[in-house]
Amino acid sequence: MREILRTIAFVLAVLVIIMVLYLLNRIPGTFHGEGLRQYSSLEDVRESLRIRPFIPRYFPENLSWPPERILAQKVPYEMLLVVFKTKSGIFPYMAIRESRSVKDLNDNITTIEKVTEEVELPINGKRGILQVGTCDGIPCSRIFWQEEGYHIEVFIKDHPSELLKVVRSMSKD
Amino acid sequence: MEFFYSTLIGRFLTQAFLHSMMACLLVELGIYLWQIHEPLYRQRLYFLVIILPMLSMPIYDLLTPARQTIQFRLGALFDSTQWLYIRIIDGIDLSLPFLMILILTSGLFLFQEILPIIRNISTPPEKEFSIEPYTSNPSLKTLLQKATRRDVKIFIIKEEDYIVFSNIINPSIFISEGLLKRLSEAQLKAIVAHEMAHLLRNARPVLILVYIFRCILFFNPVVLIHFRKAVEEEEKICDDLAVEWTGSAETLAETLEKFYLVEEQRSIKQIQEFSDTFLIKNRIQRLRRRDDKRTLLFWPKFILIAGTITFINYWIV
Repeated sequence: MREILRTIAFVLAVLVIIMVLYLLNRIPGTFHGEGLRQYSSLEDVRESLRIRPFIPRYFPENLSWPPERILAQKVPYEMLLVVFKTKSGIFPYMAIRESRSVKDLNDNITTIEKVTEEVELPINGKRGILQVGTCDGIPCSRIFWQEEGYHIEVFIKDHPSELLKVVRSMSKD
Repeated sequence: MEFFYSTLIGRFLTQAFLHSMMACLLVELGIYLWQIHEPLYRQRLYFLVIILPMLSMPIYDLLTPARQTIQFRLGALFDSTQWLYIRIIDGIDLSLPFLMILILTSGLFLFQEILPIIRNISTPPEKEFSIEPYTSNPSLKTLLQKATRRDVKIFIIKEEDYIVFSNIINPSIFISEGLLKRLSEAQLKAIVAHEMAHLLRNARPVLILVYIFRCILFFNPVVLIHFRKAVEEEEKICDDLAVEWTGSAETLAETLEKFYLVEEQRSIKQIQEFSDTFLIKNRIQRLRRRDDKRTLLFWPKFILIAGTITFINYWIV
């Protein structure tokens, strides 16, 4: 009986530890609002973090506005990730990321499952790399290049021609 | 500085530290709640604090490559980067004191562990000890064969100080003449049995592995403390084996008391010496107490603690 009580005490203590960790993780947000968090709009990012996003003037027809997810941080390095879904609800459909660090360039949102083609392409006078392939059996493509000290990446679950139209219409907001 | 903690090395330093903190917390909690007294069990739990933080980040990252991405960090239980970049004063954030802790621990490791080894190798000893084989005690030979089933040699050091140690490479035990003169036959057996226990146990791969991991995690103060704790438990494990072989806890306690009295009279110069003296006192008290409380179902508890550490640490990035 004593052993069972002790085991219950251990499990309860573990739950308390998990709760304390959860709360500790929320404390830094009260010290500075510049760490990684989700934002409701690009306006909010501009005001809170003073980040000027690279925004395209062209958007594919089946893209749903406003963005489905906006993640941004000023520290430890400036980073903004804007993810869109389609009007029919496919998520992620398109993602635009600008980051001061190259570290974030490989993650699960913008990963092409099977790259079938990779070519170099000039983007606004910079050297870009275009990858074409498939994601969940759907054609997808992504392109990345460096501009004004940012690593920029655009991903789309669509034909590469749509991607290029988006990229060629992009500029600092 | 900001980019350092985003690099592979920076992430490993931070996560190994945080993971060892969590392992330490859960291990100490388990020991306290389940009243685990046996040195062998306690040592196995302390090993978790050294082994798991060494392996956790590489294995987690291998299983979930997305663990280093912002999406994962956003959903994590504890994201270290949120804390490291809290500004304390203008231009200085928490990552600096954190780095100072790691540097101080590394300095301690360097001065306490590495430099003495280098000094011992590079400088000749102040005085040469004269050593000769000890063959005059047939009952010791019987004890050695019964306990170790190996060819262990005993050597006498021509020295008046109290010295006893073992050499694992050429299994042998060294005892000073000064100590030998002041020990009864039963006490000599007890101390030799303790050293034999070290010889037998030090060859175990897990101890060697833990030592290697501890050296790799030289920057980690939590690992440093728990390695010391594991070493203290090792002494107690060897005490228990010696008592099992010789049949008398009191004799070993009396033998240790001789060391304790000598240590106490000496002016203590270093923390290490203070800690050694304290450990001897602790061992004597434990041998005399000899409580027979046994931990029930140790392995399920061990698995529960290790599993909880592994689960929580996965969400600490």
